Amino acid sequence: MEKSDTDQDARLFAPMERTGRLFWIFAAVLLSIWLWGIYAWSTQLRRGLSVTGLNVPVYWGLYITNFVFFIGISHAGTLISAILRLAHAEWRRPITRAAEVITVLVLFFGLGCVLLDLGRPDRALNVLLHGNFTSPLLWDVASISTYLTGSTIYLYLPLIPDIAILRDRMPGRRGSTSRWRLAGRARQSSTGFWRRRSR
Amino acid sequence: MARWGMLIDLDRCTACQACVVACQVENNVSPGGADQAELGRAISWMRLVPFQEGGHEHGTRPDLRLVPLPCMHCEKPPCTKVCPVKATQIDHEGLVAQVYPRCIGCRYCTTACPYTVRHFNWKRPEWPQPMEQGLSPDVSVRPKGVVEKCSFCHHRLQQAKDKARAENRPLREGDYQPACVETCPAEAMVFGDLDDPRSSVSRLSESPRAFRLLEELGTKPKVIYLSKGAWGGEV
Repeated sequence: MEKSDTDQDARLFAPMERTGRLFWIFAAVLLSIWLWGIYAWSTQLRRGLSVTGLNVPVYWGLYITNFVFFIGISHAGTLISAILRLAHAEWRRPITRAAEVITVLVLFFGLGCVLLDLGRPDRALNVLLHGNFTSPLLWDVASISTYLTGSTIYLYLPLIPDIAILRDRMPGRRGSTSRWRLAGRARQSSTGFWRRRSR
Repeated sequence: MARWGMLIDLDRCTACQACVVACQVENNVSPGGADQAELGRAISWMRLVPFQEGGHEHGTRPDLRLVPLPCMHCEKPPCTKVCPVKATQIDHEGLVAQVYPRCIGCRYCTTACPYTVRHFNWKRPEWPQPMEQGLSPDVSVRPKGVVEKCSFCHHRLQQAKDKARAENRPLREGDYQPACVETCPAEAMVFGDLDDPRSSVSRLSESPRAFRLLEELGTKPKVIYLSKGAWGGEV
């Protein structure tokens, strides 16, 4: 990497090197909203979906609306990113990247909305065990999991060079040899292989 | 193999709602409470639904009819198609069954059913104190978060079959009767095998008074109504 480039990018890396006060304020606010949501969800699990205000014949309400909304947002993310990349609009790279991140994250929100809407979320995996392919809902599951996998790869591949830049840029964060060995072992065990120690 | 069907004679029905109460007691249906009923969440496998005839033009008097509405046990049920986990299926005797331990509570079937006879458990079923000890042991109590519906008192079919086997004889007409049919004091309801040409239910289904609800949808309901005159009812 050229020196002038690094100097220019210094401002971009600043937020990753230091954590300001404003960050922690934001984090605290968001965390309290999250905790409130967890409490609301536990109430729904205890008392059933009666707390949602849904009734007969309004069986589906805000949860499903949110699901459809977030799927739409996610598609918009892919569309923006794909158009900018196909048009070689390199100067809009930050927008492309933001759109790709939105695509993946927002899909998870949509998925969460469906799980919240289920009367028995503990049985959600029955969809895989006893899938009924005449049900449009199963096609939802199939398309969203495919789309999630695809868009995650689509986000990760262009990130690789940037991750490499960060690795070169921040030598202090590399960690000690023992931590690296631990990380390697964790990776191996997660793939099901233990490397034999050399004698 | 039998094809179970029900016949309701609207000209005999007095709208006394004995079938509704019999069904609730037989199948451990929780009354739910006034607050839930107000939200439209009351569960009742058998309901009396008001249909209005006439009265739309000025000066004419509307004729209100109460129609007993159990599950139609359609031959082409829309609910079984949309269930993502096969928790509702039509069995070889034409009963549309609900598998409570498998249902994930997505409420697709309640949305798909054109007769709105499927009910979701919005909360854990509860009964006033003395009633809780008098629940029927033959029918499971549904947990919160699953869908339930009329089963044509399927447990009674099993009992009737067991009894016939013990007495070493085939199943006779009248051995298997759902609670609502057995209760009806006006004898407006008949139950039996639609495939058996001699059964009273299949003979009555040939009557010129016979019709089915929302026939144009192609669901082929196995609950048949009898009523004189043209049926021009609206909900």
